[in-house]
Amino acid sequence: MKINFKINGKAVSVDVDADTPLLWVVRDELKLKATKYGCGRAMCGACSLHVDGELTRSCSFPVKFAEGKEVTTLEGLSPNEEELHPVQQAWMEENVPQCGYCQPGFMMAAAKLIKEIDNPSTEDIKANISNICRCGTHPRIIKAIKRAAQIQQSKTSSL
Amino acid sequence: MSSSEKDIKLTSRRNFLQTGLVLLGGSAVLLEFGCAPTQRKVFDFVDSNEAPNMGLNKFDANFWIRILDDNKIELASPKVEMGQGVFTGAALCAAEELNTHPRYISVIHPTTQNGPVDPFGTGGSSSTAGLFEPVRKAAAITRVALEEAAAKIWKTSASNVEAKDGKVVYADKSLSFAEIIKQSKSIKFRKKGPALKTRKDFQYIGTDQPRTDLLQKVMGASIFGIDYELPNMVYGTTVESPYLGGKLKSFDADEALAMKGVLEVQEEDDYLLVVAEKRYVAEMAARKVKAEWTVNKKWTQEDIDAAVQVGKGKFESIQKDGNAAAVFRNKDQGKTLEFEYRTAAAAHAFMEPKGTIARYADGKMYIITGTQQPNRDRVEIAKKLSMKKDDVDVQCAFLGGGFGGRFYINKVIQAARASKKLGRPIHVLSTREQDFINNYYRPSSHHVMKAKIENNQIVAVQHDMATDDMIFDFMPAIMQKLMGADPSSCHGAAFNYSIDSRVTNSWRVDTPYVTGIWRGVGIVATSFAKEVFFDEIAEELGQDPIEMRLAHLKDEKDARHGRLRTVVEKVRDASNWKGKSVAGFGKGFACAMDRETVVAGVAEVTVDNGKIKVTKFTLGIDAGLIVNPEGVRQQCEGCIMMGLSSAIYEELLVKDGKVNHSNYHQYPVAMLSDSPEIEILLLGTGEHVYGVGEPPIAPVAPAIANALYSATGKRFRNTPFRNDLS
Ligand code: FES
Ligand code: FES
Repeated sequence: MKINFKINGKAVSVDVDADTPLLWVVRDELKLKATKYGCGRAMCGACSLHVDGELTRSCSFPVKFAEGKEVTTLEGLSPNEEELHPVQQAWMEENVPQCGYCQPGFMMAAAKLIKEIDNPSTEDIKANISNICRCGTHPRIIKAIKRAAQIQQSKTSSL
Repeated sequence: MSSSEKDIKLTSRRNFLQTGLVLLGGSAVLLEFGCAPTQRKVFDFVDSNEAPNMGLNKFDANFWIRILDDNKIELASPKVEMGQGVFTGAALCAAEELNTHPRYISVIHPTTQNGPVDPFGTGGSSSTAGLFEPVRKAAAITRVALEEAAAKIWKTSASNVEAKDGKVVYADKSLSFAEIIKQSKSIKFRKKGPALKTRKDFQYIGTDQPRTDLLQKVMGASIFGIDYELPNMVYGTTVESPYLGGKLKSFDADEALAMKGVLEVQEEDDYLLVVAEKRYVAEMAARKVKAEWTVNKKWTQEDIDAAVQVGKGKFESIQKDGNAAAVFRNKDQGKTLEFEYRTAAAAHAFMEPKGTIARYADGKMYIITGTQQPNRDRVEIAKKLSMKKDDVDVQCAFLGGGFGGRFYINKVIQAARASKKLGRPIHVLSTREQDFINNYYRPSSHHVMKAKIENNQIVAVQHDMATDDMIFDFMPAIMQKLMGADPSSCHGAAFNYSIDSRVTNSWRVDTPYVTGIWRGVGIVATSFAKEVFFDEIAEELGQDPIEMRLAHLKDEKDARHGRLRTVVEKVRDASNWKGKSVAGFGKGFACAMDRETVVAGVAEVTVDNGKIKVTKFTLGIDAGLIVNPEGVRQQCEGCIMMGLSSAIYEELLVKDGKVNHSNYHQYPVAMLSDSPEIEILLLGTGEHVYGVGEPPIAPVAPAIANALYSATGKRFRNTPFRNDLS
């Protein structure tokens, strides 16, 4: 079945089984590999991306529901390496990743969080992000999200 | 279960024996193996020495460091990057001797054919420590070669020129490394390099540097095994026994084969492989295969708990100092304390499931996989598929977590076999469920701890532990004879405190699943049992637990005692140990020596709404010379989080013959909400680099248990602690 949607601003059309999880369409058909497979059951958040601005666990989101929507993956978060999204910039400054596998999912969750809560507390972060990291980057992720919120604020106030 | 039954094969024995003598500290040991004192000697040597830097002494500088045409310096790492930061550590070591900022250096995984790959894999907290000497040496040789070549171009003496940031400079002239190579007929590498810099001259080593892979990981670059694709590649999902020890009896794949996009179903000895054009189709089709399994025995957790018991299995003596037997026998004097402890079996549960891409063409096999043992994978493929080792090439990709869980990748052989049959490249990926169910695990353990107290002094201690093997399955059988006890399972079991009579025994037991290495190996269990026990002894003696530890770290012959004393004192002060206690909150202490690295930690906890909250963890570490402080901090944070996760939540159980955890909902791990405030004290001393990837995990569980006791008045003697909350 043909399904049409936008990915990182570009219109695409894919011809796959309509029940295929968006995760595998993004990775294997559209060749955008940042979005990761971790659990396949909406439990770990490694596959997080945005669908029409909503944080979505793409392993459990059949591609047919993406029809006509805007999908954003980590690759679409910032235009290039020089103009990083506040979350990516903060991730750089806090030297967050270890193995790095869970990080795209965390960054997508963080990007959504600082849109919702512009100055999140540690408690806000702990309560709202339920992704899994096995390497133990948790303390840095919390710091980086706070920093990202500050970067975001300084960017908007300087506009 | 024996190695052959579990289908785990050894790495090349020839390679092992070549360096095996180094591991054992001389051939004298080989001549008199078998009796207990020798076994203890060998065990002790392996247990207390840094993991040997095996297979890394022979090198050709050119092999390690390549100057590319664009003047990028490429360093091939024999150790794999699994998040532990070895690439960054290696870049710093090379930078130092190349006189060139680390940002000019890119580190790569060579394939087993085209670069240096440690034949013994990556683990044992030895990656940065193991590369410290050889990478600096290779870099120094490269620097001298480039300086001499430049001097030749300028017709001056090499002593007049100097390498600096990717160039060689001479008066007002300069040439990039790449230009020097271009302008030189040949570059001569000296066999013996110049003297290496020492600590006082370092400009990069010991400075905080961001990870070399930071930008890639922040941008989501395709660097993991799962991210690769080869032209014409298909996808494979296996159907494997959900039962421990299950053998394939019969199957019906008609429905799967009828699905659009399914190419074939391959039948192997104990599994089936569904091959499809798309990954999702392969996985859906695998679910449609009806397979029947022969199961001789449906194991239960009760069976396993009954097997993992001190007094069962094979007895091995690990430590026998003084006269503990007589001291304990004398019931007229003093008091004997005795407690039992248990740790649960655990899964690695790294975020990237195991997977492998294999391409068989023209008699050659090419493999891409995230593995801690690229060389072993190559050897095993050659053996199982009757190929020549030189016809197999393994490319390691970045690992989505290792933790000891990627020493054996069951997907490697599965993918290799499938590609050979198909004549097409294939990606075989574990589902998360398979990664939990068809895998190997950290074994559970049982400990009986005894202490004899006389005149308010500890006069004898005894530790008996029962657990399954971790590393013997990966070693030649002779090692079992040589060492008696499995050196990984029993790592850290022996007592280090200054006490006259000390006894440690291991009981090697057998569990129905494959058991193996997990971050920290045995020290997770042994330091938990020992350090909670010492907290109990301190209470019995009416002494402060930290002061009691300090009083038993007074062995002048063991330099670690002095170093650990300093770390303990610093952690005590930084954590405000003696500060006022608040009702409902507790502090707990634990420390450990892991080979040459010494660590101590203080946990602060509370129980909130039936949940254990670690509010703060203060960790001090002296791992010798620190190559990259940022990297060490990351490893400490990782150990605190993984140690906390294992202590509070993790438990791998068996039910009705199956591993009872199919996904993270049944195997909870620490989340952001569990993250404590963390303070890390880095106290590196000396000129030697010691391991940091695992030692910091040692004090985590016991410090939390001891803090829980102080918060709740209840002793937590079994992991995971969540089971004992009510
Ligand atoms: S892979 Fe989607 S939540 Fe884990
Ligand atoms: S960085 Fe490895 S799982 Fe999070």
